[in-house]
This record gives sequence, C-alpha cells and structure tokens, in this order.
Amino acid sequence: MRVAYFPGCSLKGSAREFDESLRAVAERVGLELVEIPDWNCCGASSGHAIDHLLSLALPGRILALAEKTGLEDLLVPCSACYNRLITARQDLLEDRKLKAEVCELIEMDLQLSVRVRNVIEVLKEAMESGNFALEAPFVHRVACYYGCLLVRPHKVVRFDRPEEPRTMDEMMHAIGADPVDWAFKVECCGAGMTLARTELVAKLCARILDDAEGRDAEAVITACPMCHANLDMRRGDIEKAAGRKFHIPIMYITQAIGLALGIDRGRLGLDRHIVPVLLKTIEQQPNTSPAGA
Amino acid sequence: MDFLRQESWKRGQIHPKARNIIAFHRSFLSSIRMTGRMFELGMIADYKRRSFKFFQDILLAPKLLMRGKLHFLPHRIQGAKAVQRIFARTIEKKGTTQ
Repeated sequence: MRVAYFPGCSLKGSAREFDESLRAVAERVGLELVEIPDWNCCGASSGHAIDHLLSLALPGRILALAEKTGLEDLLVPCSACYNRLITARQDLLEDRKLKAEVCELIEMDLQLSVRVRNVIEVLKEAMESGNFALEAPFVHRVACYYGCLLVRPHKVVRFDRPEEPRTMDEMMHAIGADPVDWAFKVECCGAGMTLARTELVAKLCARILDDAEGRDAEAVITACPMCHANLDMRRGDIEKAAGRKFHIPIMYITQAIGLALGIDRGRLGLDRHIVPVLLKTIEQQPNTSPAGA
Repeated sequence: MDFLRQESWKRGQIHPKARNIIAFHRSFLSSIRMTGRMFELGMIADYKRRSFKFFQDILLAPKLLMRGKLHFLPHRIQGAKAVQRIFARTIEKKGTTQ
C-alpha cells in the first residue's frame, strides 16, 4: 500500500515521536509513505478563525502538491490538519467559483482527486492486508481518546461514529489491549488554546484524565498531536487545576501498535514524553500469527 | 462559529478577554507567512512579546528542548514566496493583519 504523506508542522517538532513511530510501524506493515515535496502549513488552528479564503488556500496548495505525486490517498496523521484538509476539499468540491479563486491564489491547478485520510483508517487497512507478526501483544487496559477533530463534523469526515467511535478500540483490541468504556472519548481538550487559555485547557484535560484513571486505564491512546501535547506537556498545569496528581501516560496509537510489533521503544520516541511511559509488564504468550488474519 | 470569529476580526471588535487568543493567531500566522511552515520556538517567542506573558512555560521549555521537541532554527520551504503571495491576496489585502 502506497500513500502520499503530509506530516504537518507538529510532527516535525513537538510531536516528532508521532512521525517517528508512524514511519516505524508503516515500514513493518508494508505501508509506503511518500512525503509531499515542499509542503506548507495548513493553517490550523488559526487560519480558519481569521480568514475563510486563507483557510482554503493553504490546504489547497497542499492538495495540489499531493495530486502531483499521482497517488490516490493522502495520509494526514495530525487530527487538526486532517480536519482542515478534508473540510477545505469538501468546500471546494461544492463551490466551483471558490475553487477557481483558490487555484488563482495558489497558482496551481486543483482536481481534488486525492482522498484525505486519517491515520486510524489507513493503518487499519494496512494492518488488515499486511503480513506481519505481533511479537509482543500490548496486553494493557487503555482509554482510546479520539478528541473532537477526528470524527467531526460527521457529514464531512464520514469516519466512524461522531459520539461513540469504535475503530481505535477495535485496533487496540486486535493488538491485545483491553479498551475501557469511558465517557470522554470525543470531548475537547482545548486544542490550540493551550497558550492563550492555559487554565481552561488544564480544566478540560483534568476531567479527561480523571475519568480515564477512574476506569483503571493504564494509558490514554490518542491520534492527535494537540490532544497529546495538552494531556502530556500540560500535566503540571492540569494537576494544579485539579488539585491532585495524575500518573497515566499518553501514547500515540502508533506507539502502542509499534510495541506490539516488537519495535524498539527508542525508535517509537517513547522517551520523548513529559509523563514517563512506564506500563506494568504483563506475562505474555508469544503470538506469531498475522494480526490481520 | 468561524464566521463570527472572522467578522469580529475584520471589524476589529474583539472582546478584551480574547486579547491573548488574537495575539496567538497573529503569532501563528506570522510564523507561517515568513517561512511557509510553523516554527514553534519562534511562534512562542513572538506570542510572549505580544501577550507580555514572558514567564509562561519557562520551566517547560528546557524539558522540550532536551527531548528534541523544539528546533532552534526554522525550516524555510522553497515555495515560501508563493505562501507569502497567498497571504498578500487574502488577509493582508483586507488590511486585517498586524
């Protein structure tokens, strides 16, 4: 399976372990990532709050560059970037005049032929068709946290269910984990308000962590760099807001899958987190059957 | 909701409590405009300048640097000029950036 790849700015910086773990897992499951040459920032989280045309033109340039790769699918691992790209594509598909205006702005033609896809759906597909072994099943109780940008607005993203999504839970189950039933799967963490409204972000995150820990989850699993940053890097602010300590680590879905595939934790960037990822070692039975079987 | 935010920005009618949010948006967009991509360290420094929150996250920054999560230098894309032209024909044309 070969897809165009748009990592986005976070995955080249504060969320670099998401990029590292995704590349490591992709290699193992037979997914080839073709990074779009000379990509620009999509404008999330500010472009759409300030100027509608700018919020379409920045993703428009990325979509035009992705079309030049000749590939059908564009993998966008960051939930905020995914949301912006898929929304812009939908807006331009529905309005020819707007599309012509954006083509003029980006100085490129735009067919809108490339499908924008998130990391969960692409990995699920790759794992179902790939031939690989689960070397160390991830036998841990986890809380799958989707956040708000991955599954909403449903009429645009058309991925999973907007209120009670299941795909990430199913994938965790497939690698040996026990996903908990919890109430904060799609609640907002405050996303891009982390600098400007830190206290608000801390309060929202405290509620999320409180529920996850209350359900005895050992880790929160996410696919969004902003959710990860808020729940991990903001831990000090969260504890101050809640008046208590939280110990639960936050992992990217690719890191959990990577561990199950037996990939070294250094390659998965697990030591880059602020909250240490120290999971209880559970006696495991070696499983050599393909995960996709 | 985005429409209301955009109108508020265009008309310059911003609630005083949203001052830091606007400072963040300005720093964020200014970073993209310069190099084509968001440069996190530069954006944070610019936000501190605009919001006067000089000591915010002062203890967090060294931890992120030690973990290789912040770069000291920005990455300038080859199409940076093309991105600047997009800005020039959208928000700068309307005279709403600072």
